[in-house]
Amino acid sequence: MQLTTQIKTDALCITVEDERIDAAIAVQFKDTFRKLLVGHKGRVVVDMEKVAFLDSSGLGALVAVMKMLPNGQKLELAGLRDAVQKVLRLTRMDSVFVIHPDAKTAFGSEQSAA
Amino acid sequence: MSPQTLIDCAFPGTFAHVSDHLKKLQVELERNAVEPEPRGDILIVLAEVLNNIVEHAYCAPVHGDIHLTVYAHKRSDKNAVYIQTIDQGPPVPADALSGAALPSLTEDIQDMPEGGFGWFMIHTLADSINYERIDDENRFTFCVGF
Repeated sequence: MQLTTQIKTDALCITVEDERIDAAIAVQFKDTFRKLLVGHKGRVVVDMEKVAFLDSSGLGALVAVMKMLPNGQKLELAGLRDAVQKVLRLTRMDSVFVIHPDAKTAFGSEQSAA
Repeated sequence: MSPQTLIDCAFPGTFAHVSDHLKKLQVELERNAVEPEPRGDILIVLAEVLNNIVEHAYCAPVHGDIHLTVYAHKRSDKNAVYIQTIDQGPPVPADALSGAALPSLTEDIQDMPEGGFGWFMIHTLADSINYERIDDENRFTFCVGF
């Protein structure tokens, strides 16, 4: 499993490089985020543009990551593909996360497109 | 048209093997021109069904194989994919099969459910679910119409 982290002003943008967040990597996914988020206090945006498949274990892992954020802060998800969006909609978890069309939108106009 | 077998295989009941077989099946569904949305639904049902077997039938110390058959039936009035699984885990309790409710979402993030979505998604996306216990084996059949 591979994540790429970009450190922005008061925020982390973490890109999931894998095509699947599923039961096979859910535990590793949570552990990697736990290490990444140590001491971080700002926003966390997960760029999921490359993720084509999310199952219920992957969804559970995203909820677990959100619980790692301080003070009830919400986890932000960007670039959800149709199949991933459907899983979130079916389980009504689309109301639980902050959802952005893509990572660029998540960081507003002050960010370059790089 | 007669039903067409997309996959007929047996593999060890682990999450990693399930993930690998789902990737193969995705390719088969694409090759058989199943449109993206039903393809996504079929793959989600399959993932949840197979992961349930790994989690509940083959939790330690019981290990074994999952026998999976998937076939597509294309007809003029309706298309459907049938998923059959056989495992040698313990019998599945009847109350485990009926539950199709979503875990309740709470206001407090720390109380949010991290599981319990799998059966709900199967019940929502599959047209029928059939369970039989035959000769110390669990046999499930799911149908996803599209």
